[in-house]
Amino acid sequence: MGVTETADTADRALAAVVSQAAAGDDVAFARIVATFHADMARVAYVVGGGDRELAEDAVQSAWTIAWCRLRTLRDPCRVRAWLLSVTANEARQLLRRRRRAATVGLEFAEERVGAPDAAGPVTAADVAGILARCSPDERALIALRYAAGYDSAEIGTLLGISASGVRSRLERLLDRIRRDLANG
Amino acid sequence: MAERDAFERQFAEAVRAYAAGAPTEVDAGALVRSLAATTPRVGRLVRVAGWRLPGLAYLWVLLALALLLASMLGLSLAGGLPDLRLLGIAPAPTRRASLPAVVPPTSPVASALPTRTTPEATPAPPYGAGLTWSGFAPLPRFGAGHALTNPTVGDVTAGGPGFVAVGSDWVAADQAVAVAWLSADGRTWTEHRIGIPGTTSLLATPALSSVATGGGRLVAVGRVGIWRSTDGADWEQALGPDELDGVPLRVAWAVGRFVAIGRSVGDPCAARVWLSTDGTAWLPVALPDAAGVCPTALAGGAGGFLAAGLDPITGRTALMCSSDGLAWTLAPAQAAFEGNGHPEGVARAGNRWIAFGSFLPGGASERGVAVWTSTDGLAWRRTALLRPAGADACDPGSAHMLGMAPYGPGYVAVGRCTVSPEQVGIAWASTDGTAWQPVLGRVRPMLAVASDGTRLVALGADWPGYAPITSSAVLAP
Repeated sequence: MGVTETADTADRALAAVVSQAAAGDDVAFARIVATFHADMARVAYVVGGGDRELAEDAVQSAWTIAWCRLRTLRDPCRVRAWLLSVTANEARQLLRRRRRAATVGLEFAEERVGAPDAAGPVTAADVAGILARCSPDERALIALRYAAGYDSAEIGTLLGISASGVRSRLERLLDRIRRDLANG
Repeated sequence: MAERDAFERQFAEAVRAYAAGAPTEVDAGALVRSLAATTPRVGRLVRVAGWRLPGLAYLWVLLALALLLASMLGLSLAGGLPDLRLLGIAPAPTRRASLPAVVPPTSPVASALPTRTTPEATPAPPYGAGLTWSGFAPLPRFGAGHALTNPTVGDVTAGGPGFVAVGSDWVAADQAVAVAWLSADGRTWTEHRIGIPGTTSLLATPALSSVATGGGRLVAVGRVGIWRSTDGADWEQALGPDELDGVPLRVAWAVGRFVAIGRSVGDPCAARVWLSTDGTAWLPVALPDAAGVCPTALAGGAGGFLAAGLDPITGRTALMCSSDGLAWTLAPAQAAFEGNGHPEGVARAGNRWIAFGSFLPGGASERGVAVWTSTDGLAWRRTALLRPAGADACDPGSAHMLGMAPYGPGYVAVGRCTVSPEQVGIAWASTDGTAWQPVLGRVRPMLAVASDGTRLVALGADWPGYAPITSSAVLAP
């Protein structure tokens, strides 16, 4: 009961702040930045495969979009999901552009990352190697599922695909990652 | 199946640990100021050469309106239409006559006030009316600095040779160094590097965000740790970032000691407090269990220390006070801050604590500048809701009070507002910290202010270039 009330209060407070920011209140927008910037940076960092510069560019671009389009957000309570999907999308697009622009450099970077360690549990160090072998779309899926903590239904809504589609993609992805790790 | 689930849990844990390397630092205020200055709030963006730019759809609307008005004006001149003023679309005078500085009684902001604390008009000039500012000068840089980036300023205080400001300056596209700017008279400044340059992000807070003076010493804090100095020119690191269980953001001096407040490294909404009597040896201070606060402001004075921030769960203002810097008490939720009241700074005025910031009264559509007062730091009341001098020109809801300093027999507060499309400076004065009068007309945006008793120095920005600037002021007798 108490937990529900607290969540409702937090939702109402968040909705009020988002509405004020959408109406042009700079202070309210700064509060949104302070609240969600770190989550957005983590998502962009995972999609970018550990590229801090790309993560910063993606997040900055996402804030510019949010500044202009916040008023178009239908449900203020879903502002986090909206911001994270905008961030993932920006990071994905930046990654694609940079891959096209510097294929040689990226290939070198992938070689340098090396194969994940097959022995023992998967670690943060292994994740770098795993991400290097994933497409931008797969990285976005990993970021939204495991860095942001959304379930298949929520990710489906964010990416415009069905929940079952998200589940099957994740299952295939995880199977492939397990195989890669097992094969060294 | 169970094996796959176990692997998924393990993989999720690894991704979260990997994501901890993300660049999560941000100065939310600076980011918003940058967006406000460079990006119109339009609903559509277009991508040009890889950059997102505001769409041009609104230009078509403006063009259509201009054509409509021109055609109606033509018809009016030809006698085809009645007087345009009857339609409420006649051209307005280019500049309105000066309006009363306080909120008009018909404004929703004013109607939400329980009592009016500032009079409609005063027969005698109010305190601060004679305040005059010298020309604003840019802060100096080593060489030319980095061509594309301006220094980032954090705070200013009276101390050292006269006044000391701190912040960071860029030496390369991604490298900044902490700096102190010194001035004996508030007009001529010199820049002094502190420590060595480090890689940082344009979105990060200044390397040094706050400075305080006390006991003949200066202490500056920020992302580069805690630094101390006796003259403002030579600095020693008291604690480095790796030695601190957090990032110190603000520092204050009171009751014979320095207190720094900041946040945990991993959680911006877990407050941290450190205490020192000499600026050299620092002690981490335990906080109440409930201190889940995103700290934003700190002040010291005869009553001890007061910290303000945001409760991350409820989004409400959170206040903590301490008489000695060691034992802290979290103030209970305050009705005075209901209506999304949010302090941007705190100060000590006489025997009162003052919090100043913004407030959105129920039923109002525009945010106003608010001042709250308390005698014990625990029970608060809103005492004034102000519009700045020349507020007729400020865009509705755009005024911010950002800094406050004791000056002469009273107090002066500074801030900024938007007069589309630019930012301008605004100021207020008070004899007791409770009743505030707007003073000054249009100056540069001001972010912080300090006084040595006879002179006032403001730290500001050359909008929209953000080049930090300073100005000194004197109050005419």
